[in-house]
Amino acid sequence: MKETLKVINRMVKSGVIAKYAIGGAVAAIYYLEPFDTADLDIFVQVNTADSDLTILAPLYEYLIKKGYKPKGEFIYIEGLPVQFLPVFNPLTEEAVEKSQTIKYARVTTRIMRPEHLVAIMLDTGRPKDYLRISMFLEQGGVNMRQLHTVLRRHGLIKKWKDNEYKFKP
Amino acid sequence: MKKYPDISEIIKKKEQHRRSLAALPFEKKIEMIFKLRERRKFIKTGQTVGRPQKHKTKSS
Repeated sequence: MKETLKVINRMVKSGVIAKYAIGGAVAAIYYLEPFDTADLDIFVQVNTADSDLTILAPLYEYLIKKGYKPKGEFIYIEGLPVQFLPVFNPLTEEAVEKSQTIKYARVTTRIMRPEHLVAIMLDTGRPKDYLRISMFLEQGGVNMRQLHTVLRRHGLIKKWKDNEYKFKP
Repeated sequence: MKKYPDISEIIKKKEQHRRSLAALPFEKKIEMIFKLRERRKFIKTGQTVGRPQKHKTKSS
């Protein structure tokens, strides 16, 4: 994963990506006990006014030129399947914006904060998302006051209250 | 009425173990996932992953 992150950091340096943050399961694992996951989700902000999925095209072109192979929804970078997701709503945009800088094996990277991860999982709302929310709550991995602020800002309070019984320890 | 053993201590210990796993360094957790994947692949196919194959050398 170290080499994968180095490649992604080079994409920022060369301007293919404006900003990125690790999201999804790998980000959750940063705060929780480890669990199996297939891929590395990278949420990206790109320097373009386009709003459709073609905004990822330059990013794929860059990687393919470097010899990395796309397969399905992933692109394999240094052996690791990576899924790039453009920020697709104000919540994911804020999650990337407010992500924290960490070190992974001495490589600097950015990772979403737990409150944003939980809010995104609630918004996505698949059974596995609810399971992970319950892991966050159980393991005290989230600041409840900050979480409620994020939920309120993005209109997710009702969804939280409606589904709370599914993940409250 | 049938009596069942109290497993609350086991549950408590499991919980403690999960918390200690969560507190591990990020690199260590990612390493554990890769190992888990190797183990899963081995169980499924009998093949080990990511280990160099032994080459037969000719004796002179």
